[in-house]
Amino acid sequence: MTGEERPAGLVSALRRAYEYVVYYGFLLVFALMCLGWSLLSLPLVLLLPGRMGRRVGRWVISFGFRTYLNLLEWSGIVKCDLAELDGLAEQGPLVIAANHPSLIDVVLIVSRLPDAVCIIKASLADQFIFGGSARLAGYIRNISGSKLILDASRELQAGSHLLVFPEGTRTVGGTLQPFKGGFALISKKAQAPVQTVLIEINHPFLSKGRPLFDKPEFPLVLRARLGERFMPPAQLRPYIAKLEHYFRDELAPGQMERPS
Amino acid sequence: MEAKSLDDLELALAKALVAGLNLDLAPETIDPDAPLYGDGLGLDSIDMLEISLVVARDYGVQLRSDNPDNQQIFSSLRNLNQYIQSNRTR
Repeated sequence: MTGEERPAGLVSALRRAYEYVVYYGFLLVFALMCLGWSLLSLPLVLLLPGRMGRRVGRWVISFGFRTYLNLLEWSGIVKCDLAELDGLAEQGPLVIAANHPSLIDVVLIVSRLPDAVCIIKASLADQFIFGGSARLAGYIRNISGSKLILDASRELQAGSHLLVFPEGTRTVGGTLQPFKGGFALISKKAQAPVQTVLIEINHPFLSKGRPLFDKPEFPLVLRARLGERFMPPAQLRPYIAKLEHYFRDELAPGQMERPS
Repeated sequence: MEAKSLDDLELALAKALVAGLNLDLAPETIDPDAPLYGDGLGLDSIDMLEISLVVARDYGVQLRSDNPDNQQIFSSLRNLNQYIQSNRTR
């Protein structure tokens, strides 16, 4: 059997080299796509004000993310399983609440939703690479509490999808963080149901505390499945606790590989 | 128990908050001097945010999360009502 070890070692070394090239290549492509569209968006903010600009901005981001995921799959290092999200685009308005293991979560979900609004950290919205496109798409800056709630409710009342991560930050070390309540208040205010989305990734990837340039294990399987849909709350705190409990149950070890 | 009863404006505010937040209590039983946070009514920060939406809608008063006087304003229903009455636009 020793004769087979060397070629196998060579193949795996080549495979690793290929993965590094592809991974860094894709990070670069992502940065360039974001930057390119962000720069193009700046004049469009003036040319296409209001709802029209937001629709165009969101559609282009969704299309760009979908194309990006197709390229990732084509490279052979990533497999996406997002089929369950496909029907959502026609069902609005909805608060889409997902767990947040990785930076790629936004890309996964928005790739299937052409009219999705995200809540973006003010520090990111001020950066060159995202600023223009976030502004054109009318993404909501995460600053003052009540303004965020009212802006988000208005988007839902106009029929859009609102993407939220109730943990308020990425999952740390595979442990779901305590839920923040803003999403429940938005759901109540806009009377829009909360559609849960469960994201499962087979290896740590762009997770909190992990350096961007650490190559993950490949092949990566990025999976999003639809969870239960919850009607808007009457009382916030029991509702927030119920959803947090639901996510914990659904994402518990042993639930990951459930047959679909 | 004279000090514990709500005046008309306080009662109106209590009713608006109980209805808005779907609280399981009768508005007239709220102690106007009890803290809204924690031990008193047992409300937390998300409830405070919801209160600020109700107050903005019903009274036109913007309660801002970065107001340095918040501790005092939210310290009791009575103090919240006083702040609203001196800033209301509707």
